[in-house]
Amino acid sequence: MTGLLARVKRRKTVIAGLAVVAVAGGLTVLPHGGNAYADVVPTRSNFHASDGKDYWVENHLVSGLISSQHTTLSKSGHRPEYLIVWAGDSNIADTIVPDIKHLPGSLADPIQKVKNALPGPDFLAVIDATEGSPTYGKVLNTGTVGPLVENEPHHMQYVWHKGEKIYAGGLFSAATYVFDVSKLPALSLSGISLPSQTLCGSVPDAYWVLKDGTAYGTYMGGPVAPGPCRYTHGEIRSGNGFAGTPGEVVRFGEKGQNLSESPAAVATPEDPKLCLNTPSLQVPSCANPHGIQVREDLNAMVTSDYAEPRNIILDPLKNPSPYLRRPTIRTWDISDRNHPKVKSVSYLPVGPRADPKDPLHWEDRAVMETTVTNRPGHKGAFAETMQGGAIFYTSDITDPHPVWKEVFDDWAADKKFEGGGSGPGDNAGWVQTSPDDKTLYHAIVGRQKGTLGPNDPGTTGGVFALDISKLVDAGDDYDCDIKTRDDAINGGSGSDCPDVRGQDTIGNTPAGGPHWGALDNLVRGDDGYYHETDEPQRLATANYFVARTGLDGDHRVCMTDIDHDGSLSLDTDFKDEVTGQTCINFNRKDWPHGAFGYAKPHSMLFVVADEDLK
Amino acid sequence: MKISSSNRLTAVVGTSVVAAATTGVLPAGLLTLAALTTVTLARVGGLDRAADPVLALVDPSPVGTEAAVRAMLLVATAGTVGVGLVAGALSWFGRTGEADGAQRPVARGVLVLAWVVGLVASAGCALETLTGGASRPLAVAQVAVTLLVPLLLGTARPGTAVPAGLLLAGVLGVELGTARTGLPLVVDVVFSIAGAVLFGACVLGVGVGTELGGEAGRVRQVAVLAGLVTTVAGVAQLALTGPPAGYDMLHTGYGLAALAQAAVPLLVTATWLVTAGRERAGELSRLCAGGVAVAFAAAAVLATLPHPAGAPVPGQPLARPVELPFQHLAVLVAPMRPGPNLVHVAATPAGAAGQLAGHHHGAPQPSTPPGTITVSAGGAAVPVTARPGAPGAWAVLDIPAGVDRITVTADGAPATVPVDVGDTPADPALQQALTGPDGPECASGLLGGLVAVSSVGRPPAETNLAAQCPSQALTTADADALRDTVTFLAGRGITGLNLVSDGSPRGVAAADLVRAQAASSNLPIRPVGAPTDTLLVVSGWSAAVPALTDAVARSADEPAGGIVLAPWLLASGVISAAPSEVLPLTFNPGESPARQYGATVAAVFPGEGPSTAGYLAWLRAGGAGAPLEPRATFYGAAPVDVPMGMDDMHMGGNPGEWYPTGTVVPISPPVGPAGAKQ
Repeated sequence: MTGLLARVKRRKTVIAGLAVVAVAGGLTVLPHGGNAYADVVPTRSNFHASDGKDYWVENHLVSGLISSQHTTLSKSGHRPEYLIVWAGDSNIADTIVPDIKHLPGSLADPIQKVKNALPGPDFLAVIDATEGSPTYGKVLNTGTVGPLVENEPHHMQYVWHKGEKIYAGGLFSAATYVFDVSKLPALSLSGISLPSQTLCGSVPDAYWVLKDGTAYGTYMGGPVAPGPCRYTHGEIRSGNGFAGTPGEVVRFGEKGQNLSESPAAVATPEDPKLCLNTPSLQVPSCANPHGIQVREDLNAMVTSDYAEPRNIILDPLKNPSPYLRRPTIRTWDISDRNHPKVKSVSYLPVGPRADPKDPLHWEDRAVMETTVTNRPGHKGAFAETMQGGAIFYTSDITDPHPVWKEVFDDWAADKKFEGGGSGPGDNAGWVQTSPDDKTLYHAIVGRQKGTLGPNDPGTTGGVFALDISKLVDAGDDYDCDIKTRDDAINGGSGSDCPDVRGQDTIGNTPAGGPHWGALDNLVRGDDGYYHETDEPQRLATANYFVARTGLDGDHRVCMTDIDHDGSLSLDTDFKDEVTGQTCINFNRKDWPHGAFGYAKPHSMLFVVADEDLK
Repeated sequence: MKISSSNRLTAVVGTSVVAAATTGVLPAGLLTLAALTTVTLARVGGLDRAADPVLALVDPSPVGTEAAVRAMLLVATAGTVGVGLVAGALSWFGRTGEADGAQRPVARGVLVLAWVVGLVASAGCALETLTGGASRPLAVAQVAVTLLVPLLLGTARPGTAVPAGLLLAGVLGVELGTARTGLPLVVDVVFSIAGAVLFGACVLGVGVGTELGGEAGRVRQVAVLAGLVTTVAGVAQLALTGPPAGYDMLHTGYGLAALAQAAVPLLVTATWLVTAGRERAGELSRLCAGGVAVAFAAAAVLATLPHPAGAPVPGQPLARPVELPFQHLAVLVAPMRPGPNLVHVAATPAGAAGQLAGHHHGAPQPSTPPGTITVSAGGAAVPVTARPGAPGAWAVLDIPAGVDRITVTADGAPATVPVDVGDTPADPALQQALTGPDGPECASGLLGGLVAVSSVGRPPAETNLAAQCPSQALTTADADALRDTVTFLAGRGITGLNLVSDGSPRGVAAADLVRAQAASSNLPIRPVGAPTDTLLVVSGWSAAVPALTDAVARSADEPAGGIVLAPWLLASGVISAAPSEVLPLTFNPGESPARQYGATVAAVFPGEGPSTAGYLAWLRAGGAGAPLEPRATFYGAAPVDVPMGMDDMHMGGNPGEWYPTGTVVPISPPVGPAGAKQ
């Protein structure tokens, strides 16, 4: 009996001990989420730059995800497609508070914010964009650039074609990076252009890659130092300094070398009222090129002037002049690829709803983007205005004196977004023709509260598609011309005016929509390889502009499906791997390159590895 | 005896507790719990505010309600844990001995107390959730465990409350310990668990008095043992993370809270020791329970309070945060010698710590304290004022030897900053430079050095940060840069130079060098104002700003020949005075280490931006950074900020950036002989 009691007692002791240890052990598991990127091994690709220093892109390949993707796709004979996103470190990163900090009684931690204020690297995110892939929407690699930080990643080229390098600019670092994407998901750095190599311009914006692999880039700001600047072919223009006026177009080689710099300003004065310069220039100019597209078959290039990109609020009590937003478009003769020459400078019409008291929101204000038609029989191009909220068109960019007419007011499409909207100040951005010239896609950030007055509730944004087939097919005889306020609100009455084919509200808060977008020009063929298509079936958008301006967005990258009838709908399968919600949220605490927190995605491209594209 | 189905679970658990308590597994479990809780916290990382001298300077902006709720929650949770563990275990010890293992019921008073503290803790969880500080699932789980303790204590087998108490003890350790890392973390976890047991023993004394009968001795043993452990933990925490200056022990909230965490458990333990068998022991034990509550409240609030910065050391600059009712100040005092001292004050409104460097959504922090701020060293109050090109506000204050504190008064609210100027007079040249027009540049250098030594964990006293101000001499590197600049400009075909200098030793030497170099390059130097000439500024910050302002005013009417600044003028308050400048620099402000310095100094000193003086001092003091280039490269500085057209949309820049609303980028290869080789 005594032995039995002793055995029972020992057993209870063991049970009790195990229970205590189990309880305590459970505590260690409770708050810890593990590290999904523990297997990431950084590998660096260096480039020895003109200043004698090494610059790099450092790959952080998530081997587990890549292996999973590869295994599944290879079974079905599919090949991977990627969305490459050029993103900047946001330095907010207050999400780097471990889950345990959300326990009751734990501290909201300002100190952590200080730690996270330290600069993190900017990067190219390589996201799986292969429909049906188990890793669809997951970040497979981040290629961080260095040693420069806070470049303010901005634009790349508008569309990627087989064999092309990716040209990517840093708005604040004034650097142009050239990336090799032939071995995706791994990246390498082919070259870099430093601001000391582009002395006649600053603030790089957008790129267009030529068939020979070289690229044009718009440098929106003026020469790096005030005074006269001599361009590659001997032209001289006097500028008012870095981020001032006039800007230029630079042609880059595939290692980032400067092949030529060409002035965007003409030698004669432009309109001194519409082309305000600070400090003033003896030869006033609106030449601050932002958007750029090229028709090599026509030996023609179009650039759109956006704004003198420096903060000129020297007197903080005054608003910046509305005349710092440019109303001009330039066409160029690029017969000599290395010596583009400005052929025309056109002033856009102010539009029928222009309020004389509010020149900032005239339809012609801030010509951010332009896009050319693509088919051999078409010679036209479109342009859009960010503050103006309107779309303009000319039927022939080879004409020495092209005529630009307003053919669509964003108002007619914005009002169809959830919550409604209107054109003025809608912060319109990306605009792109489809390769078949039938559709024009346009991204709208939306308007912040109070933009048009204290009672302005602001508007939401998204992306819409316009049917432009009749307009483009009409050639020089098109009759669309927005001349009345009714045309602005409801669409033009001309027989060939664009119609809204579809719209997709993205971001349900005022000014929460996308600034940028990219068409997926690649489609998987029956042979398993990717081919270029004239009829893209989806597009990607990014909700970010430039944080410093206050237009920060929610840092999401979304996928929108394009139906055969042109209607648009959000791809709900393109989900964030952390939150499980639709769209990829760049506000996350962990990246393959570390716990650097929030990031700012500005532009993106659909890309596949060379071996997977025919 | 037949066991009812409703009591089967509690019977099993209670049996385990019995075994545990009687074989020593319970104490071992508590130790294991402490160890594993510590490991948990170590894995997820704590805040460790006190361990990092740089972060210690940062305004933690404690929110009064947040601190109060945290204190309420942790005190009540500690009470719940303590009652659950001690009362539950004692009930088992007091079991009747019958076959069914019936346990002594918990006295009604204790049960009421257990419910009170449990409900208060639950209310704390709810408040934390409502204010957005806690996740709902975690809060609900904690409330469930918390209420389980009094619930089980009220059953026929109160011993079953012990496992719930153990679980809650782990949670308590986690919550109290989130403010620490390393050894201080271990100490806090031990404090929380031992303190909770002590709390429970005290509550038992309050609630049951003589009802304990023969168990009273056991309660006392538990109380004394737990009290000793708690005391050791509290004292250890004071030694590890207490204020470095004795003054701060009694004059800051942090010091008082740290003292309470250490001293109150000692007093409580002593009370238990001396009250054995005394009259009025019940009242004393009630007092002890209140004392433990105070100790827990102090430990809970401690983590929300700013940790006092380092003690003043004669001859070393002192940077300290100062909390006032409506704003958080940062104060720098140098050279900390008898006589005139430079006092630099920066401010943010209290509670604005979320608007820190790097937070792009925030409006720029005020670079000048609002309202009226004065400083005094016992004598007349001296108002702090703005200086051209410098952030924050400034005063020259005479601090006699023997004065141990200065008073900073903002909008009528005073605060004290301890000082120790010693008896040794300051180097006259240093004192003159610091208290003269170039003082802000010198102070920027001192701050750079301070944050660097703090970052690398070196005491400031080991690095002679205040050896010399930049304006006291023209360095060889700066001389080379200026010489190369003039040569470069002459080669660029500029028409002439407008030279702006000042009377500092550096300014005089720089102007002489520029004139000599210009003469050898046949470059004319003309009076300032010649429209096509290039403006070359080699003065200090205070003279540079009006020169740039004048140049900007002239450029509105006539094109300017550009502006070139000496390397030491790279400071946001200077370069933002004109739309575009060129500077010869031997480091790239766009690279990571330079940005790290800028972000750190801005976080430490509200509104403070990086400067050449600060970065060079940061490097000298061991801060992260690449070696300086042997020859300067020209950098362009300009605003880049596409205006969006509305004042309230224009969010401004980050004060931690070299050019908060612009950028500074290289625009040339290295100049001079070394650069020519590349």
